[in-house]
Amino acid sequence: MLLTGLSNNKDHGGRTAMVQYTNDGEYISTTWMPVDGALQGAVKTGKFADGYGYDARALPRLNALVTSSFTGWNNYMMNLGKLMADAEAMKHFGNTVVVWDLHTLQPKKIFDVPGAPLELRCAWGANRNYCFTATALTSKIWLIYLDEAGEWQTKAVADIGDASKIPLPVDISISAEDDLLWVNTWNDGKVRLFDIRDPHAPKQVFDQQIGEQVNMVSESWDGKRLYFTSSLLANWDKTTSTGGDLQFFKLYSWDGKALKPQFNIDFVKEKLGAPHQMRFGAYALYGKKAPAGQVAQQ
Amino acid sequence: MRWRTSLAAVVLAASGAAYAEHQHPAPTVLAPGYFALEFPAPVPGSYQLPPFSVAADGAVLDDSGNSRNLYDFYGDRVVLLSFIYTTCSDVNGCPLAAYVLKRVQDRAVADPKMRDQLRVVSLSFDPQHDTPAVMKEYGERLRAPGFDWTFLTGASDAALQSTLAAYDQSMYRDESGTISHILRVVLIDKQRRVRNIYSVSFLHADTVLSDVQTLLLEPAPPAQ
Repeated sequence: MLLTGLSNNKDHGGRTAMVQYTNDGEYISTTWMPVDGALQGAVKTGKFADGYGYDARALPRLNALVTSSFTGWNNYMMNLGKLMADAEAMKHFGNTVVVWDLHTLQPKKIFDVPGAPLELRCAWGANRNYCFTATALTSKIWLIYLDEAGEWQTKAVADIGDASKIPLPVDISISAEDDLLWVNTWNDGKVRLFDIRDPHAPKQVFDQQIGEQVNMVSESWDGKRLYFTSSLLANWDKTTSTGGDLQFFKLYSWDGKALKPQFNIDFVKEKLGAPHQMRFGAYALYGKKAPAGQVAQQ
Repeated sequence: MRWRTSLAAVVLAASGAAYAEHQHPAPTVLAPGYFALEFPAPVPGSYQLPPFSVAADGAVLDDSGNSRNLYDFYGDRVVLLSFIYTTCSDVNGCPLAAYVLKRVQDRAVADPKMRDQLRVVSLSFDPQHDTPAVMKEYGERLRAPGFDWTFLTGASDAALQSTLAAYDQSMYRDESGTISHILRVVLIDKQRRVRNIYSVSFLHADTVLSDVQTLLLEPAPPAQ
């Protein structure tokens, strides 16, 4: 298991690491994110080598691990309104994406991707050599791609809403055919759909209000079902409801044209707390059932 | 991609896999291990392979039917332990392991240091079919003269259960008797520690060889 960190327990700032554990939870090793003064052999391609961390995704075929960057404990434990008004604190957000050698866990290239690049999703296709991320503060989709010379590069490829209104992109979900990218924006509670058949020029083709806030989005392999949850962080979530739609777990069907509600669990009404992460890795989704008494592993 | 399909057939034939009863559907994408590596192999000794855990011992049978322990095969050499069953027809399963380990063997026999310090151990988790005699015949098709490739099985499913659990090797038989499993090849150093685990997306002869050479370049531990 490779776990990404968000912070550290020394200064509660943003310098963090990835940590390997065995499947039994035994510690193996710590790999610090590259930072000025400790680049670990990586090439710093821009202004930043900030040491922040967030998500990690791999393209094993290309021996590539991609990581993104958020902020440290000092910021994510602060009330969001107070944080946004604190100019000094707002300087302490990640501005980098790092491409690593997956096999050796050595950082290769550090890219400037300003504005807290969070979720990463890599293309599934056997010949598609790219990943996407969305920046929370600058509201853009960025492409991380292998160029024709075999070098990793990054570039901003689309705007997500109006950045000046701080829609705050959070989770993204790439379709199994690599043709669509769903993008949630937490602050305005919307989901936007981008056509990414040309990954260098995504085009928004759809948007819909999901709730007063929305964070995670997870789609089924056939793309016909989309699940949404609402909670970002306990200290950042909205607490005053204007429409009774604040904390939820929702399912929508997607027919290529419209999202239609299928169920909605109101977590405020049901007193269930704040829903965040979803995982649908059940063996049953593969169409087979493990024999009684035997636990299938995936 | 006709050529990929052809390669799959060649691989299955070469590995001796029974591609008849209980066929898995042909995968549309063959594992990277069947092709040239799409990136430069890591330079041996330029990186660390931190130890994961102590490799487990376990009761096994050699291909003559003698009771042995896995630890009989660890300690004097770096070991690649591969969990297999000889009737596996999933081209990205055991046939991939056979294909990759055969390529490892081809390279190792040409390098005396590696030849003398590397052992491949293929352990069947299907003792119902893979008797010592079956493993002997299977091994004779794969093993090159002068290379230490050992073929083992278990006395029974029950006798292997704790070993499979210790290596986190999942497998089960469904109602039709078809075995499902997740491919795993384990790299074990001379101190009997697990140093890497290769699954279908990561098993490639070039990276395995870099890892083996990295272990062989490590200084010997101080004498006890």
